[in-house]
Amino acid sequence: MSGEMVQDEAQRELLASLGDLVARVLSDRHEVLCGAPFCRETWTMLGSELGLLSADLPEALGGMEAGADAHAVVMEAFGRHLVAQPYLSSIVMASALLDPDEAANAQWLTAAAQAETIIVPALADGPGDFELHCLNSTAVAGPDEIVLKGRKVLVRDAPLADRFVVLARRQGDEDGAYVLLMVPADAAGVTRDDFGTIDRASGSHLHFDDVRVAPSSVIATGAEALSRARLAQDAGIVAVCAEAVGILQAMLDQTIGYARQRTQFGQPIASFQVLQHRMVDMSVAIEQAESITRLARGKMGSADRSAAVSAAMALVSRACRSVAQDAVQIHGAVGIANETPISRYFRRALAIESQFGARDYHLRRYMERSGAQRGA
Amino acid sequence: MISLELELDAQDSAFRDEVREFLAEKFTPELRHEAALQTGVFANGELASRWHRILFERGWAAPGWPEQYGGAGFSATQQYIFNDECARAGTPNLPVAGVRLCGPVLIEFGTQEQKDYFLPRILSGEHVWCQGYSEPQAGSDLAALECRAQRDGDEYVINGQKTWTTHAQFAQWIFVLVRTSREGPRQAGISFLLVPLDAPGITVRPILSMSGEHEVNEVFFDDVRVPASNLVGEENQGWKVAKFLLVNERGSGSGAAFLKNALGMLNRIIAPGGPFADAGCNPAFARRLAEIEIEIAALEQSEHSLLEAVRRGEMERGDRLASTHKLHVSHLMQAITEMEVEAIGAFAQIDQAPVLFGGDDASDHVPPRALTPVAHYLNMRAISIFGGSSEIQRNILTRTALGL
Repeated sequence: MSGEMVQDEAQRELLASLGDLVARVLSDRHEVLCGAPFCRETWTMLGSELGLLSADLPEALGGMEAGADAHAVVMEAFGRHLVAQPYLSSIVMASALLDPDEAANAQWLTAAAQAETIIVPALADGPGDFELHCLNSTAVAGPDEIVLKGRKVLVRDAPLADRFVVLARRQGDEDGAYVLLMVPADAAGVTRDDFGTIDRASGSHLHFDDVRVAPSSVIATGAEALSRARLAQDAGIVAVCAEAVGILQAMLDQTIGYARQRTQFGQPIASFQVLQHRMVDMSVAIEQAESITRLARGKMGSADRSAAVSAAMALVSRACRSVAQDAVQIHGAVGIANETPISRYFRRALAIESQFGARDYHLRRYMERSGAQRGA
Repeated sequence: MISLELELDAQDSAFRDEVREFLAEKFTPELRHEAALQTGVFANGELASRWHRILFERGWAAPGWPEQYGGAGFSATQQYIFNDECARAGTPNLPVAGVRLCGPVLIEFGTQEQKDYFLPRILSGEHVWCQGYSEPQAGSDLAALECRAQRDGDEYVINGQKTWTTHAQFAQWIFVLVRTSREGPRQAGISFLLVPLDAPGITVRPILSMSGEHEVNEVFFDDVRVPASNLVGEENQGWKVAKFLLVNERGSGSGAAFLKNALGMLNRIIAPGGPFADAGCNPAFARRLAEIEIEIAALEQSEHSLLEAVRRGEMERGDRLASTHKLHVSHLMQAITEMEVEAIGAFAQIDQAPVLFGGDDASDHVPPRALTPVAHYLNMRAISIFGGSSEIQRNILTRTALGL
């Protein structure tokens, strides 16, 4: 498996200017964005005022055509600054689920980029349904409407949603066929059991009790529906890996800063070789995480996609564990206290480890998908 | 899980039965349920006090103390049996500041008045203690402590600050290392003082851990006056007392018990038939679990040997092994808590602090076994830092084990 990632000059410039824009925004609006909880006004500012959310979209929809590379730039910056906004759900994953060439889809994409609507994917039935069997989510199609029944457990960002993209399977007509539905969050029959997350975001367990939606809610059916859902998962993983790189780099920077100014035994602890080597190991792990993420991003359009994406998630998970643990250890007791920034980055890194399936799961998936050229 | 194969004579066998009967009767399902929800290094103050009381009533509150002061008088084997049975049952981890730290210090260095007054109250649990050592600028480098105690007539006046003080919020008394002289080497100007936490001028400020739990505190001293008779040992001899405290904590050999208790928590999370049974069936997970079990068994064997050595007076080996054991316990405890988190998969993302520490009701959507792992894991990041960080332990071993 080798990585192929060719960026032309125009793309590079585009991404550089996007990077500058993001950096400026994060600096100017530091209080509301960095380490701050979600706020609708802030999201609206990002979308309609600053145009930060449309970078990936085609020009026809007001975007910069930067695609998945835009996601990576934004997510890494958001990781560095602990930004808790629904970019992953409403921009990254939504753009994989919706087709910009289809009129209704294009409207939803534009609305999401303008921050007029927040779209949250509800694809897997829950943890353990990464394969998207969706046995608990059924859609019965009538002449005038579709009736959705089911449960989706552990849906991140669900409390913020204006709309859900729900993956379900048909019952009755075309039994078992997949269908992707755009469901208003306030539709009758939709109930939420909300929870806070360890990284100060939010999620819900969703119930759909005979939720009736119009036939125009159908985004895709059959193999296309499943394919888009899988693409959304993979795009989500690659984006969260980029976020993780930002998180880990921030943790390393904070650790170096702390170690320089913390003195014990008459010297800064940064002068102790043991700690220097540990911080070096952190930087080596981050470089590796960044590389595998870049590889996976380059493979999004290829036959190797699943293997590459799982490879990235597995390796980045490992980096999340080791870098975060080393950061807290070097901070000493201060790293355990809730009020210290490093502990919040630690919790975000921990959440990333399980957000899209565990490391063990992705190692197995990598083994399965990367071909049978190995012994049992 | 392989256990030590102990040659139990009839007497020890009977003792083991006695401990099991005691636990069956006194470690009630209610206590068991509460103990299973403990995520801190120690059980929370209220649960700890209840369990301590139960042990006290049985005469087992201080297994390591000489019998003349109310110690249980256990032999090394009985000590092992007692720790092992309690660990299997999952009893609360009792805070160490009173029975295991301050008590032995007073037995060794205390005046008769101090022993008469404090020891019975530590034993009964009437006095709960905490340990005032670390300061913001004095962590691993404890000798850098600055909290001052100025002699004024027959009192000391204390000014300064302690930090990371475990369970100060539950304690009535604190023992502090204070600076009583600036002459000579830093260690030579330190004294060991006993201070009541209700003395005027003391402020205890909670420090929330990243788990959301309140285990540690800052303690501020603002012209706090204590009788000079609260000095333990001689003035400026506090460092010697502190070192004794450290040494004495060894040889009680309960690291393996602490770990087996945690292993029990992990096994309950992945119990067959439960919501997280799949984790246990994952071969990679099972392998890691097997390695942890094996290392715990090795540690248990080592602790038992250490206990025997200490009783025979072989202190040098004790010094080396103590640091080695701390490294093992830290590493293994952290490994166990990592696996607890892995076992619950994506449920680890849900913040359970409001339920665990805030009094909220648990959600119907979250299996009860998913409540504790993340808080447990987050809290245990501290175990390689407190009580002598892993880096410090390695420094000690570089000298004592390698002779470098």
